[in-house]
Amino acid sequence: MSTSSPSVPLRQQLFRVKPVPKAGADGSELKRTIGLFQLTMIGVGGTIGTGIFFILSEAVPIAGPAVIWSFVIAGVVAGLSVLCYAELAGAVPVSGSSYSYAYTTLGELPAMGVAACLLLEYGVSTAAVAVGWSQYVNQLLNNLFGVQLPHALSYAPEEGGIVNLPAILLIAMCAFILIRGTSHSAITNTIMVVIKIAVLIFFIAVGMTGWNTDHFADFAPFGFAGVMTGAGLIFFSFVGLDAVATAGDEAKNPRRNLPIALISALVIVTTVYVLVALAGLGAQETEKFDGQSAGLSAILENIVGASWPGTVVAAGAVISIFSVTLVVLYGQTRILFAMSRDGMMPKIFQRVNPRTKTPIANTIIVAAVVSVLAGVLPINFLAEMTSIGTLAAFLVVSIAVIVLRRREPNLERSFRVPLYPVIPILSIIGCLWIIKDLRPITIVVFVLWTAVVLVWYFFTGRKNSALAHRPVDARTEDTL
Amino acid sequence: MSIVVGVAPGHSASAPVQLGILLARSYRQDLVVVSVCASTWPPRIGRREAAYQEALVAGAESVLAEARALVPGDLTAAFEVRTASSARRGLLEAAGEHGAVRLVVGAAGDAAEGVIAVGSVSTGLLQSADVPVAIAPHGFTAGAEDRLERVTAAYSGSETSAELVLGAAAVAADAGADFRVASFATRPQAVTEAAIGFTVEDDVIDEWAEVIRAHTEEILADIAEFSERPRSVDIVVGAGDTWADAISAIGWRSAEVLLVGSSSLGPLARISLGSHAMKIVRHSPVPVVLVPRRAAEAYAARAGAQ
Repeated sequence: MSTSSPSVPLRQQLFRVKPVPKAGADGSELKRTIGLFQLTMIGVGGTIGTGIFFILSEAVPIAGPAVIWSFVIAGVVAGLSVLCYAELAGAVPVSGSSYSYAYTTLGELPAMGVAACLLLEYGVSTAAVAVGWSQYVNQLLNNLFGVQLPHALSYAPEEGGIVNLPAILLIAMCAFILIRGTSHSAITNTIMVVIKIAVLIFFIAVGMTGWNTDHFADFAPFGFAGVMTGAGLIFFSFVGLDAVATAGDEAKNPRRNLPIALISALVIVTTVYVLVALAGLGAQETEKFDGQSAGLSAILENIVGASWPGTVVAAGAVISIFSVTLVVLYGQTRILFAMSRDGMMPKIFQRVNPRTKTPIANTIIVAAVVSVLAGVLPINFLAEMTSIGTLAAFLVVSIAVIVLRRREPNLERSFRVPLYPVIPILSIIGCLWIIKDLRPITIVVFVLWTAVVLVWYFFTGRKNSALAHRPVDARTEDTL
Repeated sequence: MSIVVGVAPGHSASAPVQLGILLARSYRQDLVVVSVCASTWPPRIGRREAAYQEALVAGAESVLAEARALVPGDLTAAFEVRTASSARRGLLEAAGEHGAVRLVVGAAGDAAEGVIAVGSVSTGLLQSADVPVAIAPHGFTAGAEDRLERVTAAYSGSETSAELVLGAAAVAADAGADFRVASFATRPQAVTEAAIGFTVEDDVIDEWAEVIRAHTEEILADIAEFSERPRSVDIVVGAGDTWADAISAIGWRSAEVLLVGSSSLGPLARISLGSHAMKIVRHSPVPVVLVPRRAAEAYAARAGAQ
């Protein structure tokens, strides 16, 4: 086993795939323990409540009352993509994120592309969610104690503030919990899901009492383009649905349960979102949404003319957004950890503290970067960046399904996309369609960001890759 | 110099005495078995107090008789009934008088068979003793001829913990026993909703195990400098879904003790049940030797003297 040439051809480097460990080789055969209900709960829990608490105020001014269709379109595209995601997850016998799936099937370069998307999907969405949390904390403080943080300390510079302090505090708190070592159990998750859904149902119930059909008179002021742009923004609130696919490798009878759980979760989430949107639109004129902070609380207070319903919603939002931030921040640190072990990221990301048994440096770096984003960037930009990152990751996954079917037709797959190739193709078209209607700045920043990550890979990751150092032979340093 | 064993009136003396015998034989020390009668407060008046004390002393005598029957003839052993304001105080006084190198007590009364519960007496001892305290699990037995086969020191990755490990190695060398450094971790569940798969925390724990191994290699290098070394040295890392799994994963011998530092077993131990040391103590299948903070320095100095 030795190569005669001292360097590996570039193409071979860029598309080398990570070998899949033989399942059960180290006795780590996955136990399939997750039933259909729990799988659905994971989907609902991972998804609901990330964006709905503050995305209405951003999307209604763009799409008008037709925002309802934006929700449906975003939901359908998310569903198609996640079906593809599930096939990929079921084809790769490793547990991990879409980064690990891409690495074991498509190769190193595409995996880095996916990683670039995931850093947006996780890091930036943590920031976005934290900014939304900050709005509700202010609302809650105001309702309970009659005090509010000054505008300068709770808004990004672009929104007339200096820095968003509550958002930064939230991230610091979550980082502290993660450093101490968290056991975010299934029970915690269930409690959080219940709180989120209860608060949203409460909002719908109270909101419907202020129903006024006149608010829907000008249904789509900006036409279909407005609906699609709105869908792009809203796509962000479907982040987390992919948790169903990654949990697939522990699901009982995945072939049957995975699509059912996925579609159930999607139907539940989309229904709740649409009802929230309907209640909100029926209760308040479209113009009022613009620039409204802690939207859901504000709407209820305007209808009822008292602060208590708003307080209930704000309290629920503060609790559930906290748990979402914790989960997403955790995901980000662990993706970087996995990348670091693969040699794609500096070693500091895999350093584990012997006492706490957690990657402390990694967590602090992530929290610091995310804090800066949350402190100084406006929420709509953060939401769009998250959406494009997620959409691009889904796009790669949908393409990967087609590539893998052609390249490895006989590979064992625990789940296969129904109606192949229609669904992956529709998923690709849907993602591209939503991406094209995002603001140009978002697309430009995304392209630049991906380019930065790939350049980084080209100059460092490619050489430090764990695959490059596998002791197949005593190769000298690559010289290019 | 001696091993002082505390036996409680009205409880079985078997487990702590058998552990005392094992330690006395291994360290070539004399054995002193003490049963403390705690006087009442406020003192009862006249005859009732006297009658109560008599009953206590009778209980203490009978438990000492049980102990006497267990001690083999070739060990030098003394048996005494003491009266003190509390069991803890009585044991500490006895330890002082007899120049104890170890205090041995049984697990708290409410523990199940084979489980170590740290009761009020042990906790009190930990906070005030300046010698290590060995706790025998309920039902602990050792053959009359047995010697310590192995000493395992729990290492938590901290500086104090490292010093204790060195001290423990010196003690293992004294007893001519094998020695190993053990670290334990439970595998946390990855957060399912984060969409990053289930095995990511296993990778974190693997990485942690590498860090711990690197640390303990350094400690072993120090032990190699000793003039008198343990029979063998080894590093083990136990990981499992629960503490019980993690601890049983490394395998145990019948005549073995687990040494745990008490840096995290301080005054707050009773309320901070989350502390890893407490979990390790509770799930240990072998007797545990707790090294109080006050004893740790002397203990580490042992290693320095080597």
